[in-house]
Amino acid sequence: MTTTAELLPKTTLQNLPEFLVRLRETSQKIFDSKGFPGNKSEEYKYLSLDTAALRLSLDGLPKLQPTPKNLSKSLISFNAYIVVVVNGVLDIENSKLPISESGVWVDSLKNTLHTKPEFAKEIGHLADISDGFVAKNTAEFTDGWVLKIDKNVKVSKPIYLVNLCTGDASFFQNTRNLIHVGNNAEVDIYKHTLSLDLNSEIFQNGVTEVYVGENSTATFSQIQEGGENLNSVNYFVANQAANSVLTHNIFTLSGKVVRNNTQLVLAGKGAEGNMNGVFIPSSGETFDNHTLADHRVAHCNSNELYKGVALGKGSGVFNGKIFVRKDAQKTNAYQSNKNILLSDDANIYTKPQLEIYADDVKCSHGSTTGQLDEKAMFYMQARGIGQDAARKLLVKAFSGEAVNMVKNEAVREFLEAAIDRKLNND
Amino acid sequence: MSQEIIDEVIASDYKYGWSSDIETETIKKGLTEDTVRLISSKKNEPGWMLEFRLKAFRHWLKMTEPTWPNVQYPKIDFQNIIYYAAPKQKIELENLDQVDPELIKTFEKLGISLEEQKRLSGVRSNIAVDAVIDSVSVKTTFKETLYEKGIIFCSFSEAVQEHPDLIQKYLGTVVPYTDNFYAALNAAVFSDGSFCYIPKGVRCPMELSTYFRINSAGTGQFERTLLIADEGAYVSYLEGCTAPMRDENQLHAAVVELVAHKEGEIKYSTVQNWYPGDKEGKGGIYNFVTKRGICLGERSKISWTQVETGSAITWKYPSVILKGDYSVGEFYSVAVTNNYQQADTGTKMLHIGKNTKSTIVSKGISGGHSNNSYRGLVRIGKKAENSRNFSQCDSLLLGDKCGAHTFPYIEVNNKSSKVEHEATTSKIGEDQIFYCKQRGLDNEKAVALIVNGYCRDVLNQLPMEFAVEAQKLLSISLEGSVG
Repeated sequence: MTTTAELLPKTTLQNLPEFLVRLRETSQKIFDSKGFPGNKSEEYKYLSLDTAALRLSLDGLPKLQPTPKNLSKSLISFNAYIVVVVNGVLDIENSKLPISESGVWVDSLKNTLHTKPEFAKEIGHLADISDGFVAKNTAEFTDGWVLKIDKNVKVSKPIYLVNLCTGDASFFQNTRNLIHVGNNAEVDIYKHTLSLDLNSEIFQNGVTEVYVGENSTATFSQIQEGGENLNSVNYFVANQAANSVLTHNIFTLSGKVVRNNTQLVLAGKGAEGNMNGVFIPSSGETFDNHTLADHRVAHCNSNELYKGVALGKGSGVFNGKIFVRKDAQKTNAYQSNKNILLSDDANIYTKPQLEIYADDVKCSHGSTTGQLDEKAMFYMQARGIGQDAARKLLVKAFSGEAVNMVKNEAVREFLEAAIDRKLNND
Repeated sequence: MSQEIIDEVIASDYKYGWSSDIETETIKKGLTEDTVRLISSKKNEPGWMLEFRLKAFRHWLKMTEPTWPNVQYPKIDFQNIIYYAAPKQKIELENLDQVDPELIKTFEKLGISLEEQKRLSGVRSNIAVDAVIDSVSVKTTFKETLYEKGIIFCSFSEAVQEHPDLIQKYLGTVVPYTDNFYAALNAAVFSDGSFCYIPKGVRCPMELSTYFRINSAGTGQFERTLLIADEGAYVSYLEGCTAPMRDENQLHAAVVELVAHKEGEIKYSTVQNWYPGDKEGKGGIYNFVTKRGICLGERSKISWTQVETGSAITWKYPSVILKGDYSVGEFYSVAVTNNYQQADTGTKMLHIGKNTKSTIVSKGISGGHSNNSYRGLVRIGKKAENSRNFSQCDSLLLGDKCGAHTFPYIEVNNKSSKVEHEATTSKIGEDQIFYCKQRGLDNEKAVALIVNGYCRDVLNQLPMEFAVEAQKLLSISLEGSVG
């Protein structure tokens, strides 16, 4: 394998709003003093990051790679708008973008700074820069994508974001994304992270900030299939206005180290936030999910369902927090995390948390870690289903509860097949 | 809802707030190596004991105060504490007539009449009491009766003199002085405590009990308890604690170590009612305690039950190391916080042996401006095959200014074990109150019934004699709402 990839010089973003320039300076200072969080930090306790990966070149991004010809084979085929992002850079040629009259607008962050400076002002208000990875991203993001749904627009087709990692260069990538869903709008977004011909280790440190307008419904489903060369830190934070419904699903199927930080801020009365996930780490993989349901105002609901299956020497982490602030009365918040260990060398670490400062609330969490039901296994084996097939069937049913939260049938089928493949390789 | 009741609850007073006029001998404030030597020489300790203290003290100097719990308090000035205070009573007491009458009065007020205990000796289901005032054991009852069975139950200092072999064998094996900041401090300056040894195959015929009382102002209480159940032995042990009302904060940093050998069983119950501070949150005890038990042998069992109603700040995690195969660990807790009290409490269950089991039931009740956190760890080691844990942590909120938090850590490292955890937080349901009222109960009785039912799983675990006391305590803390 030749490492011919040449890194482009670090681009300095032009036309950044004044406050963002200052925010970048502050973030840089925070990062310089704190660095990346290690496993001494409470929030990153169970994440063993490869320090070599953190030292990957920060000098710039590789030249835009030609999109591999066999890409379509790895994609989910369904009728959707397609947004292809290669190594963090929007590849418009290969995308099938909606026309601008439709009320849906997609562009790179770099262009947005020129064409819609007003819109660019929404960057940086939600992500918490006290987190080392967010600080790093805020200080040094080079590009990213921006998605805007106008008010009263019900997007007719799902939006399919393909986050492709490819090439021979090793690098550390900071991408910054922004989603804005106007009032009374409706959208179904899928983000599919995958690697094709990725021959060197890379580190993606992505931050996505989302605004969901009043009375809007949005779903954001993420499929993480990065392969052994991809380290990912996905930070997703959404601010929900009154009566909005946001569903965030995340399926972590492969990758070296994957850390998913998902934070829903219920900031308007009557908002509903849902978080679902499946993570299946096997040998050499650590999948770490941190979620936060931040109830800021009264009369909001949140639901959470995370399912973990640990194979081989895999390591899975779930840390979910329900945070009910002082005035957030009449809150209903539920969280459920269930895990299965299929190997003696695998580990699961969970920490479901409740932090509650209001009294008129109903909050609960439940967490279990165990193995497949022996009786169910026996039942199936007694009926001629082999051990391996029975095991797969049970895992399918187990993860199915979360997979079924996905709206689109083609995506659900893709996920089921991908989970099956993962178990086959174990 | 029943706002008046809640107001009344929040307004309830501390009933143990008096202080006794007992002549006390104290040493100078402050902590240096000389203080440690002084305490040791006052207790006439052998060289190895002083050595242990000094090692702990030197280690403590290198440590920094932990800041991770979910509690806030001003920095403690460790040089502004009196590390040794003892009732001035030197001569060995042969009978109760020689006991300082003030002291007897103290215990009568506490509800433990030493005289009555004496008179009732021989009657079934008695309680042997070791009373500790300002970290010095003043009176141990029933010692002789127990000794006939081979049971050793005495003050820690006595054990150091009379059973040095046992102390040397077990001291610091469960909670080493290097364990944490307050355990190190305790190891350096502990002044007394209780010691108990149940020999092979003996079932302790009565409940053993220690009463702790902080009396002097400006002192810290640092006692140490060591309990050993040898093979097949059984003991049920209870500690109770109270302190006078003072507007300063006093530090209580105790260490409790439990060792259960093969098939041994220890049931340790705590009714903690240190002074919680006044309604503005002034004064009260800082209760920073390290409690840990080890199930050394096969089929051994350690069970912690605690009713925590007092202390300005409670910060403790009674834990069990499940080392022996088939060993069992249990933790039952009711923690009530009111006014400006803060509690960060829970447990650690460390599964090491095969087929080990643990159960955690924690009930938090918060009112006023208080904060109540459950923090726990369940770790299933790689070799702890077929282990089982069940945890339930519920919180009840009695006001809109209080907080209830849950921080459970669950780590599972093999595929044959099962761990379940569930937690809920809510206030008393309007529908529950409505249901009770519909059936003719008034508001007050309804709340009482619901709170009682809520804590029942834990109160049921207390020994008979103390279940009554614990309920009484709950009703003091939640005056007007518990019948």
